[in-house]
Amino acid sequence: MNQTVKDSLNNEEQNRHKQESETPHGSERIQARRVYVPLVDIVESDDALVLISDMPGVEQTGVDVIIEKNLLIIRGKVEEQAPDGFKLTYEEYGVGDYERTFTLPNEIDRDAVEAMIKDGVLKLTLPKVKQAATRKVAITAG
Amino acid sequence: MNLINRFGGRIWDPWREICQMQNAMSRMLAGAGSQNGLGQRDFPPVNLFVNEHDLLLTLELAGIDPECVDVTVTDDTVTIRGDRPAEAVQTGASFHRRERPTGPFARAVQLPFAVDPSKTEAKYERGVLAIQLGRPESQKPKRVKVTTA
Repeated sequence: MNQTVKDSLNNEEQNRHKQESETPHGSERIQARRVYVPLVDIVESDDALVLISDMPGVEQTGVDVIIEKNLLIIRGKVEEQAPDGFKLTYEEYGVGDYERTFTLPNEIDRDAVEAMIKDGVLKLTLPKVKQAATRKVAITAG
Repeated sequence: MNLINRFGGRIWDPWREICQMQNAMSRMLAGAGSQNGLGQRDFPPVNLFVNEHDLLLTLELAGIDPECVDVTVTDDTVTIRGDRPAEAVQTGASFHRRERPTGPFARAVQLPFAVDPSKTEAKYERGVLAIQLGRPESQKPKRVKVTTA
């Protein structure tokens, strides 16, 4: 399972703080906003995979969950936090959008994925297919 | 210093990176020997903003119950305490990844000057805690009129 739920960072260690997302080797970033990798927990039970992601600053309308073949992409758009007239004097975290990509195992039912966001935490429930649909193809002699 | 590119956004600014690194170094050295020592980032991270009348402290603190957060202001220090409970997991389930920090947390932030505790407001929205602290009259910037002799 660890092999299939492999994220784009290829980093098995825990990175516990917000890190800026890397652009693929040799490519350059063209958008002005910064993009960060959100921290996630991934829990597997018998009937589903649950992915929980911290995306502080993201509203319901700012979340995008995209499933494309075996890729799962989560994106969150963050509104600026500093009100007008305020100047930043001390900074421990950067503000920007979130994006992270995961590869999905085949046993996930792509049509039944549910997403919910509350207080900046995105929770994705990815149910497993009831029974792996294996089909035997009959071969007829020509 | 902000460098603005022709699309109106911020481009890579080496000074900003240096300032961030300097902050990280100061925190690491300040915390050396304590529990939150070398290499561990304090949770939750804070940003501090100022304007003429107020200070604004923002904290990235997703998924907490605002009732369980305790904010205290004394002179020039704000202390934020709370607990971020771990996700309830059904029996038989296992974690493949566990990056989100959980458990009790406490941060004390020293402000550039003493604030008026009666003018403090805290708001929790979209996983960001924003604490607005009023400057006392004595700390507000004053305009000095220049006269000719």
